[in-house]
Amino acid sequence: MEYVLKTESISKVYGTHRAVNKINMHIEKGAIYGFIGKNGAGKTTFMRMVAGLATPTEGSMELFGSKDLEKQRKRMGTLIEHSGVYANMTAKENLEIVRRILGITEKKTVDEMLEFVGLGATGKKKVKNFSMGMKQRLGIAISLLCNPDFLILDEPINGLDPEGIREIRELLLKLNRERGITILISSHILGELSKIATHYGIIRDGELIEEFEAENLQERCRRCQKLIVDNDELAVSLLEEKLNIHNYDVPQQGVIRVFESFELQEQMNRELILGGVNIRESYMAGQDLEGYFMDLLGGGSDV
Amino acid sequence: MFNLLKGEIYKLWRSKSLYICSAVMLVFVLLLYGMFSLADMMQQGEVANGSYGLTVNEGVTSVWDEMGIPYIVQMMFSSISALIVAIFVSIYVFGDYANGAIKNVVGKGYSRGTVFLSKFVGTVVGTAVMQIVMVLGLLICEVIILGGRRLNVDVLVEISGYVAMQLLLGAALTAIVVTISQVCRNLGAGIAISACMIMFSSFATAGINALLKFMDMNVNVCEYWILDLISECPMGNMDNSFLVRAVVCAIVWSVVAIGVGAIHFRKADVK
Repeated sequence: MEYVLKTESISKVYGTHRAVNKINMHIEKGAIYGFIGKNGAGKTTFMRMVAGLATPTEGSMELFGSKDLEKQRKRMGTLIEHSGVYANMTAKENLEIVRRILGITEKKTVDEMLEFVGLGATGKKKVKNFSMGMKQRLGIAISLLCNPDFLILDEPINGLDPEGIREIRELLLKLNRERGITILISSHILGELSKIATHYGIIRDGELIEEFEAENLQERCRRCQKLIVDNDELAVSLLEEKLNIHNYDVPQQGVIRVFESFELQEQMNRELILGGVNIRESYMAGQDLEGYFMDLLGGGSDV
Repeated sequence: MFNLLKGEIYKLWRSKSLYICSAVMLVFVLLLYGMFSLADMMQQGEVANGSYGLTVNEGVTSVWDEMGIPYIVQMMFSSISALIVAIFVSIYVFGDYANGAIKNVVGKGYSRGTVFLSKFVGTVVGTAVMQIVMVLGLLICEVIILGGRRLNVDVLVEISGYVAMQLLLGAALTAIVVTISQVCRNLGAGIAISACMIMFSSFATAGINALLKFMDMNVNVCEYWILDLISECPMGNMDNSFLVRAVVCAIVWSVVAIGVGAIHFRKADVK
């Protein structure tokens, strides 16, 4: 497996506060990695460390399989927290500064990029007069100017209207599909993230609690009757024999997820008890993406 | 490094603060020449002495005889210039942090030291431009108001040598202010600290001198402090002793300030 980013026990400590705690993240080449966590969970701090804006207190990382981070970061575009632009300049002037810093010789790159992100007609309009969406698009243009192989976007759709969100989504998908750019993206808008992400990482209190593929997410969100019992072997044999239920799985010891015959819920419980199985919990599970993440992150509204 | 400098210079030419601070320098030049013209008119009896809140000494033929162009150039460099330079540098350096544009430079394959150095060089170019604009303004005013009769090759050579030395000393001052601004990352604090340094450091050096004398140490720190060198820089008869001391001090202060700034910038997180 080829990884664009691999971190090993990376941590960031501010005084006594451990903002990021031993994160081992793996981002495959070509992935769109959705990074999810509540406010203050450590997403931005982690991204800043990857981008070279903050130094890890401990741990190490590899970019494109190399530990020479300074060199590899040239292949990376970033938009972290907000677009770093000069408000008193035009979009073109802002891009022109970055073009010179990056040593891009072709002047037309700037105009092409402005067209690409839909800011080609802004002319002499100063950035201070831009809408939020335009500023975000300019930020993305700046991050794309170095023709990156890896893009880090921290809340790029924050403050955008639905149309703006759709535009950014389509732009990211286009970049991923047409240019093969790997993307690490964080967002609070989980529904939107689920439309593009191929992988997910969930961070809680500075720790990466789960990392999985989008395909698995569908599975995890599947509606089911969840039974937590003391003897899962006996329980599944009873379900098969007594109720002819075969569509189930046992994700972990003592946990059974039944994916059919929801109308037989009461009967299931009765047969298991009569068969000598102690049921600790029995409930309908399965939810939408947001509900699933809420459960993982421990509830709250600031996801 | 070259690319970083290209970016810095491009940004500099589009920086409003460069034009505003240069304009402020020119306004001070105009005010100075306006004041001297008024004094001259009073001395010539064209305007009553004491008018407009200005009083001139009796018995002096013309203020222009007292205030030669070299003296006026010296006056501008030792008073107004340093303060406006400090304000410009604070605004320019803080600008990158205020809008987060520094993130577009850091983490782009350049070492933090290189980024800091390019910022310093860009700022030095900016301050040099401002100071040259000020000198050109002085010369233009001289020509317009006095017809350029006091300007000759000797005077111009004298001024050129003086301005070159001031630009070198100004680079050291810029390095110090860049470091202060970089460490503060706050516009108000950066300007306040730099302004206090410019206005009150002479008192501090005088105090240190007194303390050293009290301790029977025969060292005059004023001779090595960059702001004292700026205000005491002689016009014309610059002896070798001053020349060597000024050049060495300018280099040492620049290197120390850049070193401290670069070390801080290397360790600091960019937000």
